[in-house]
Amino acid sequence: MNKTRLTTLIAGCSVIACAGLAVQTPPKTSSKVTSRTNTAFFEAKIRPILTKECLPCHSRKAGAVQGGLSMDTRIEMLTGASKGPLVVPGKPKDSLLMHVVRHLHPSIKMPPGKKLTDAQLQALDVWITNGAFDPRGAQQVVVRPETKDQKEWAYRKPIAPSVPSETNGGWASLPIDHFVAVAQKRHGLQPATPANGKVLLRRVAMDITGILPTAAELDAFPDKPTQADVRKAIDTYLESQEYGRRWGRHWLDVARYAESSGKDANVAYPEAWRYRDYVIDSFNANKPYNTFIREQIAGDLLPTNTKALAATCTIATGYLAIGAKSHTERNTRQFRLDVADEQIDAIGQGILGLTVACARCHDHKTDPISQRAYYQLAGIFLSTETHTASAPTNQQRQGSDGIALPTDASVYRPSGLTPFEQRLLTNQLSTLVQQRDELIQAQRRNRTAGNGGLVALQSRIGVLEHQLSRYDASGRVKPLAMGASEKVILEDSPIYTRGERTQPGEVVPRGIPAFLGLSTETSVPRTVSGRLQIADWLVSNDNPLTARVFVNRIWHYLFGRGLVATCDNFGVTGMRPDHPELLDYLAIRFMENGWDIKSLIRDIMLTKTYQMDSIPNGKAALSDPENIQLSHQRVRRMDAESIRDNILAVSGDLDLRVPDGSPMVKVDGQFARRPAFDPQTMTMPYRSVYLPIVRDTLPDALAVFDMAEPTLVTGVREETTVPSQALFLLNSPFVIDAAIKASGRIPVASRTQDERIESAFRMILGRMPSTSEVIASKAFLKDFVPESQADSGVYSRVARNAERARWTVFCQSLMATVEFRTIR
Amino acid sequence: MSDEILRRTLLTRLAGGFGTLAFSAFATADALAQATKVSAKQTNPLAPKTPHFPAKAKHVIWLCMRGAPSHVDTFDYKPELEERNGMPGPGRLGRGAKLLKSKWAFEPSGDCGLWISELFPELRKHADKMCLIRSMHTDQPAHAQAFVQMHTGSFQFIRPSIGAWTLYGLGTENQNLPGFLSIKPPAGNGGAQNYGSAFLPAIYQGMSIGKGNQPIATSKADYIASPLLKPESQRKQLDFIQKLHAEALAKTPHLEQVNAAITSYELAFRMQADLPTVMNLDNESVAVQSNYGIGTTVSDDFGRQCLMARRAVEAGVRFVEVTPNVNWDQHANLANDLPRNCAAVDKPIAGLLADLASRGLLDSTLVVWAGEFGRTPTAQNGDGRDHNNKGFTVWMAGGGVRGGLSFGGTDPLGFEAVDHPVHVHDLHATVLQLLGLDHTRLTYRYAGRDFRLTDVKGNVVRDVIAS
Repeated sequence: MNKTRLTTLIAGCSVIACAGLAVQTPPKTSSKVTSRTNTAFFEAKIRPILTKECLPCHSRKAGAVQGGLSMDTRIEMLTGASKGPLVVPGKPKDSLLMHVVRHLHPSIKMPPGKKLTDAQLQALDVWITNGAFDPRGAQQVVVRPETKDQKEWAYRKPIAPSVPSETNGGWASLPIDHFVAVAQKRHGLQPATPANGKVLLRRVAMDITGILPTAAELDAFPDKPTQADVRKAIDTYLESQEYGRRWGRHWLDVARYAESSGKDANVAYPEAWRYRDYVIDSFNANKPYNTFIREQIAGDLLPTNTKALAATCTIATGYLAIGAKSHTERNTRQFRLDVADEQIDAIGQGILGLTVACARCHDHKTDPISQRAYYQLAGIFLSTETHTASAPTNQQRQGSDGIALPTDASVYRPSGLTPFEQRLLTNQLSTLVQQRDELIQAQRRNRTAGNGGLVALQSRIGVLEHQLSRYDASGRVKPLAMGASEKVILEDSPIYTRGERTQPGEVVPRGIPAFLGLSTETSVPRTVSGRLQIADWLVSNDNPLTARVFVNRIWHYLFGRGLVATCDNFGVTGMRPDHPELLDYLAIRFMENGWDIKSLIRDIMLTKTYQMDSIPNGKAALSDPENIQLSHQRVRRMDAESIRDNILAVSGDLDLRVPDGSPMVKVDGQFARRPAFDPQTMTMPYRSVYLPIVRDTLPDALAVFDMAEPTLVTGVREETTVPSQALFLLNSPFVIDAAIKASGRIPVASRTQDERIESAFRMILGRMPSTSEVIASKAFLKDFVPESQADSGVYSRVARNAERARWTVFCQSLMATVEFRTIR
Repeated sequence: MSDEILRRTLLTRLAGGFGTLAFSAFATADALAQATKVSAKQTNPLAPKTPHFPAKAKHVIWLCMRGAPSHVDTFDYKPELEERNGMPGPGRLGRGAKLLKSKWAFEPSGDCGLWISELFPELRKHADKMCLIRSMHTDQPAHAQAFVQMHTGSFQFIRPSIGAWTLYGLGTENQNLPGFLSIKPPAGNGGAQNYGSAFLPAIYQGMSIGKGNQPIATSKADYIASPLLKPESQRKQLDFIQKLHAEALAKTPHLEQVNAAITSYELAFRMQADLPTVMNLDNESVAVQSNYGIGTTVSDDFGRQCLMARRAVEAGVRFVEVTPNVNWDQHANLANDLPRNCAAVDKPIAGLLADLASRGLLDSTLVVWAGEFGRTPTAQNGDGRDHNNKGFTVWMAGGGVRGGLSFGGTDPLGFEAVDHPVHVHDLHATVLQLLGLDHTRLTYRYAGRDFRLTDVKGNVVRDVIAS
């Protein structure tokens, strides 16, 4: 149940009525509550029930403790009386209270002689599900409505907090831990013990590289590592190229990366991969975040002293061009307004953590962002040419050319066309042109003849011309990029009433609006679009949000929940920070430290907070089930890319090289018209970040495990457990092939079955099997007769070899366990 | 851990549906069963949910007529167009092109006397079940945009599909089957967006079966069977996996993920058996099959799709979309192509309506027939018609709509909706209404605000709802 929904104190877009309770929102990692909303819920829904229905007979204060039970305080509710705990936070169905009020208990039905209303039962259920927050017994809490200042905390600059001295019983030693210790102490929570060295190494490797450590690496790492041991491991992983591939992928979620336009026509973006590689390289080079952002917004406008740097900075602006677009939009103005809107939305949510694009049609309903501010920004992007380097469609030819990159040895050029392929395409083109000319001639002669086929011909000619234009005479790929450049004619935008193109109003000067701590508008010189100015302002130390939003993303990736749980929304409708001082401390330190990403990751990983075990101690599980107070680590599922990469790694097939561009390099025009390959099932041995990302046809292996929808800015991925994942793990050729190969990697000769079982466990799960697991494994291997489906076809050879099939299925089973894909 | 304890642990956990069950010993079996039902409802996001108000329809079969069928040749009878055949189309709508009368005769059909074209000889026998909305209009005259808008309400932004919204709002009755199926969805025109979930959780997206040009008879759902093992062998593999899971639980009881996975594996295994059963038409009698046009070349494929849709709905699937492998985009060659298209769908749809009715399913199943827009009353390329988003016909049957009704209308030539215009948003609002959902209250919070299928628009067309 989405708690924010229930306790919504703030209306969303006001035109939409608040949701009723009838439709439940499913649990989502991003929807957590602050204690403030918890309190509001308790006071509004729970306290009245307790006071009216329970406390008359169960209150020590009132002197009535029927059955020895008092319900005055939270602790009494949790302890209960002779029948045990009354409430188990998070588990209504395990809570005695729910059994008795639902009249499910065989002997006790409460309140005596009546039943609570459905709404009351529902409220209690939701309350327990959400952790049974109960302010009673603690200090008296008065719920005051949030002030404007509190709601708009994100619009003020962070203030450097002093590092507290609290250690929570000698636990904390590093600054971050001190902040956490304060929270733990305030809630009476003991920190969990440090994680075992093997568990920790696995966590560190997964968080930095996304690849599991090998059994040998785990063996070499101590069970009780020193801080020096941990630091060495962290540094080794941070220096490996796999770091950039994992963290680059995180950014690609935020940058809504894909290699096609999506939406209606889904036009291929054959040069998008250059931006992907730019992102990976930037992380591996530990590019400061402020430089990284400047390059993506205005790289083409930055001074560059080498061709290589000029190329890099041009490719970086691909960030602005890779968003989803409707290339069949006939009205060019509408198309450009939509592109600018998409860019503002990506920057707003991705970099600022604000839903700026809401102000396209009206002043933002909840945040201090005016429609005027929106169109000041829009002017900047309407003065920007967006190059998609994609084939034109019949309706939309705008910006379809790519940006020529400097021919420099550092600019990689994927393999091009063979002379034969080039001749073939050239011939196809001339045939089509001839057909078109004949058709036009025929129409001139006979005016009543239809133009059937002409549109289709023109379209195919356009695609072919575009395709051929991307290669030089010798068939080499011309170095082209997607990206942004200054428009020849710069413009300011009118404020469009209700966002409608047909209703322009007052024209506003493009520039940096008066919001986010700026009290006045800053217009930009008339001779430039303003992209460089907006980029500089985004990464200015006076910008209250850019650093906060990014350090929060890092925290989210390392703990499974950001300090602000709504990573892409720091606005009024987002969540308030769980630990505001810690957030500001990290943000300020990050800026002071030169926006150094690796250094921040290292600092966080070296804390006791990060290195704790994920097993909560008893009290934490009860009183802080969402672990907001960070008394232990979180158990997380590997993300989609990691699951696929590690399955490949176990099979021995994972290829850690950089692929030859992307399979999309050779695709032009609408993807579905003539698909060159099937992106859903395509096999490539490279890391998943290199799989072709065609909008609306994501690779199955990633889509089933909640890969980010590449059309939307995604700071928090879903983490679902659904049957389609099980079907994929059990039945997909990808996993079965990996299992066949994995079984081939178990050393066979002169080994006992026990040793082979151990090898498989070590290879796949990185540990030795327990005694009972060995027994279970032996029983399975003894009894299992692989009755095969595959009398013929690709799997017939494996199927005929019963021993091989048995070990294949055994390895597949280990890969299909939750343990394999869990980081704890 | 002994086998016996393992098995019991597993059984207890499986019985709980989603989530754990650790009941106090005094819980009776009956109470346990009841509580399980309650708790499954609250924690399984696909569990059936109570609608906002009593629903007329519980299921939807959406017949997707990709390419925009000509309304003036099928369901929108225009005598005046016949009279003015060959004359220039009037004003801004006609743009000087010549008016083109329908080549096909219309007749009053059923007791209600709805005028339906001779192109649908079978379907029009069911006129009394059908509610024609002859005043549809949509925002864009381009296929891709209008197609996506018909499915998601928006052509401008990426939004969840109507099937995903329905599943989100109502859950589904049979947990062993997907709640939302799209049978042979077209790859173009937005592709998976049209059955996608966008910002709604991924569990609400549709499962697609089959591709446009491949016969449904040989299509399978992805990964629905092991290419290596027979089900009996796979069951043993699954038992082994679950045993490892039980071991893991014993060791690390705080791993909630293990519980969820145990359940989802069992569901997947049941789905492997149940989904192919729904798709397998062998148990349907020859008579039923031939009522759907199965066995006749022109209608065989869509007949199978429609019969599958009925079987799916019967088995509890909430929302089924079926798309015939025909294209209604007749810019030319109306005379040949339109009759062929109609023949491909006429008998299958008639068979579907008859079958649903005879099984008592029609009352609770809403059938929607819709293209993305209509076509011009004027000619294009001699014997074709151009796109027309200003007026077209959509019809519904069953699921609480008033049969035998013609609602709204276009101008006398069929250019644009003039009498009670119904926008796509209004159609969506009406479909949700029939399902017991208030389109203004079916919301989902994303990026800081509440979204709906109908955005800030949509009016329920109450006149088409049976009282």
